[in-house]
Amino acid sequence: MIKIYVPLDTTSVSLGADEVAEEITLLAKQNNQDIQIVRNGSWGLFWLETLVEVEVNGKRIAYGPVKEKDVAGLFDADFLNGGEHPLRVGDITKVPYLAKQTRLCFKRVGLVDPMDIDDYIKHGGFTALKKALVAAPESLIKEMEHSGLRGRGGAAFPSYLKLQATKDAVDDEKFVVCNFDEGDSGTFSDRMMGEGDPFMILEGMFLTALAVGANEGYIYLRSEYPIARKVLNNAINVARKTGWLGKNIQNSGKNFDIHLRVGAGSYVCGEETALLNSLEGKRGTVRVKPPFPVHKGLFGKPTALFNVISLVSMVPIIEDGGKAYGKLGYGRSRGTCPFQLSGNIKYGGLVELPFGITVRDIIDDFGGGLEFSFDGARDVKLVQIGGPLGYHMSKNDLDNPLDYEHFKTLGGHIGHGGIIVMGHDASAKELAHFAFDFCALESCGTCTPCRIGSRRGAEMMEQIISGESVNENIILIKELCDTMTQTSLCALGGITAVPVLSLIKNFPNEFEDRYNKYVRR
Amino acid sequence: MFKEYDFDTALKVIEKNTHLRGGLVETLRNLADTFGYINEELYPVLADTFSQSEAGVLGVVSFYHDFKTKPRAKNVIKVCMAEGCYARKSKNMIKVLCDTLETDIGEKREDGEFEIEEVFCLGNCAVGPNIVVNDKLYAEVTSDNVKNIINKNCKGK
Ligand SMILES: Cc1cc2nc3c(=O)[nH]c(=O)nc-3n(C[C@H](O)[C@H](O)[C@H](O)COP(=O)(O)O)c2cc1C
Ligand code: SF4
Ligand code: FES
Repeated sequence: MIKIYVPLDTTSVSLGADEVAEEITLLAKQNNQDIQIVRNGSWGLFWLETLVEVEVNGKRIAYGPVKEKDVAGLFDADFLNGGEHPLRVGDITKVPYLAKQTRLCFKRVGLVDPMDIDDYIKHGGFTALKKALVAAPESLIKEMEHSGLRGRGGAAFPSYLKLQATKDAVDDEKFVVCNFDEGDSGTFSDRMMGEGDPFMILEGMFLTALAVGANEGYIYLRSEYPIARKVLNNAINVARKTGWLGKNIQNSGKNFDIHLRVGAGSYVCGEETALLNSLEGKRGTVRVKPPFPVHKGLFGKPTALFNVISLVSMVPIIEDGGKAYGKLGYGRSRGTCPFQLSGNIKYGGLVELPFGITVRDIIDDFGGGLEFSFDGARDVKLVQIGGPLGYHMSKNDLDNPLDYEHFKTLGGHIGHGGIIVMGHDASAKELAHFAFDFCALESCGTCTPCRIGSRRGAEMMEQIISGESVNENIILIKELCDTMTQTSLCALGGITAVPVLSLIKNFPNEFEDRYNKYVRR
Repeated sequence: MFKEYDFDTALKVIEKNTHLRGGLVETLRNLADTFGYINEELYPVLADTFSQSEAGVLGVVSFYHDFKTKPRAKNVIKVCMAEGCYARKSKNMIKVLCDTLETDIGEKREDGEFEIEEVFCLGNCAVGPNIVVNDKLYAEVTSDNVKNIINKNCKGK
C-alpha cells in the first residue's frame, strides 16, 4: 500500500486539497493502485499548497502546488513511484525555506497524522510529559525560568512567573486555560498547530497542569477555525480513550481532563479576562486587575492561562531542558517564535526562527524579497507587525530585529508574530481609519475612551480621507490617542494608538493637507 | 446549511448543555450552529436554565458578533475585511461581490437569498483575499473570479 499525504490544513483546503484528495482516490481506484491517503498538517510553505507527498521506499517525495486538474498528469508521470513531473519538489525538508528554520514548536506539523496519537508518540510525543509525571512541580517551573520563555499571545510576560503564582495560590480547584482565540489579522500559527499537531497542545496543557496542580483545562477556540475544531475534538477524544487524559493517567495517579469551548466571533475575547468571562457563559467584558487570573481566574479559581504557542513551547523546554531552549534567541527574547508571513509577498507561510532576525532579512530570505509581491508588482510600501493593534513600519524601519525590547523602543510590539507586507495600493489613511473602526467594533464597552473615543477617531479619519479640516483633525487624533493610551483598561483601547500614530509618523505625506488637495484636484 | 428553526429541536439542544458549568455561551453557540440564529422565544427558557434574567440572556446574545437574532439568508457569504486580505487587494473584490449580490456588507438582501457578513481574519492570510460561501472557504478571490465562485455555490440568483 502506498501512503499519500494531502494536508487537511485550512489554507490547503481553501486552495482545493479536498478535491485533490478525492481525485487521487478516484484515479488510484481506476488504475488498481492500493493507496492510503493521510491528511496531515501543512508544512507552512503556502505557495506550494496543495502539497502532495508520496512515500516511496520510506522517503517522502513532494509535489506542489497540485490542483485537481493536475492529478491525472501526476499518475501519468508515475508519481506513486516518485516520477519526474514539473510539479515535483522532492524532499520537502530540503527546501531552503524549511531547511533554514529552527522548528521546535512546529517540528511535527506536516510530518505526522494529526488524527493519530500513535503517530504522535512514534515521533517523540509525550516524552516531556513522561518526564514531568515523575518530576517535582518546582523543577518544572525552574526549567521554565531557565528557558526565559515569555508569553507568545502578545503581552510577553515571563511564563514561569505565571506558573509560580498559580502554583502558590491555595485553593481546592485550579484551571489551565489555552487561549486559542488567535484574533490578530495576519496570524495563523495557532491554527496550524491545532490542525497539524493537536496532541502537542494537550501535552503543553498537561505540563502546565502538573506544574501548578490543576486537574482541569479548557481550550477557548475561535469560531472561525472549523477544521481546528474538528481535529482538536478528535484529539481530546482519542487521548481520553487511550488513557492520556482523564483519571489516573498512564497509571501515574494523576488526573487531568480538557474541554473544548468555541468562541463567538469577538476579538476582545482574546484578552485573558474577557476570555474567562466568556468561558463562564457571560458577556466578554474585560475585568479589572487585580485580582489576576492566577489568583481569581476561571469560576473565581486560580488559573494558568497561556497562548497556544506558549504552551507548545513548554514541551521542548521540558524535553531538552530550559537552558538549551534559552540558548536560542536575542537579548531578553529567548527561544524561537513562529513568525507568520503574509500579505503582498511572494512566499507567504510559517517561519519558526529564534528571535533576533531582522524584518528585512525574514522578508528577503523567506518572503522572496521586497521587490516581489504575490501578483508580480514591485511595490512594497509598509509592513505591519503584530496584528490590528500593531506597528506599521516604513521601508526605513526594516532593519529592526524581531525582539520584544526593540519593538517596544520603536513604539510597537511583536504581538503574536504576524508580519503583513503591503504594497503601494495600501493607503495609510485607510489603515488608520480601519484601526479606529476595528476598535469601535470590538470594544467591550467598559471604558469611555475606548468605547466612544474609537468612534470619534474613526469619524475624524473619515473627514481626513475626504480632505476636511485635515490639520485640525490630526491634532485632535493625536490627543485622542494620548487619552486612549493613558486611560484604557486593556490593550484594545490602550494600543489602538500604535497603528494610528505609526502611520502618521511614517507616512506623513499622506496626512498632509497639501497632499489631499493635490489628490482631489 | 442551517436547520429550519423549531422549538422542540431547540429545547433538545439546550437540554444537552444544561450540565455545563457556565454553559450559556456554549449553548448559544450550539443554537447558532444549528439554526443560524437565536430565536427570541428561547430567552425565557435560557434564562431559567442558566439561572439569570431574560435581560441577562439578551445581553450575552447581543455582545457576540456570531449570535444573530434574525433568520439567515439562504446563502451566507462571509468576507474577510482585515489587513492581510486588504494587502492582497480585497477592496476591489468586495465591491464586485456587493454589486453582484445587490446587497451591502452586514446586510441581508430583501428577498432573503443572500447575506454578506464581515469577518476579521480567517487565519488564511497568506493566500487571501478570502471569502466563505455557505461554510466553504475560498482563497485567492479576485474581482474576476468572485462571480464564478458565487454562481457555483449558491442556489439563488
Ligand atoms: C484585545 C486583546 C486581544 C487579545 N487576543 C489574544 C489572542 O487572540 N490570543 C492570545 O493568546 N492572546 C491574546 N491577548 C493576550 C492575552 O490577554 C494574554 O496576555 C495571553 O493570552 C496570555 O498568554 P501568554 O502569556 O501565553 O501570552 C489579547 C489581548 C488583548 C488586550
Ligand atoms: S479598553 Fe476597550 S476593550 Fe479594553 S476594557 Fe476598555 S472598553 Fe473594554
Ligand atoms: S486577514 Fe484575511 S484571512 Fe487573515
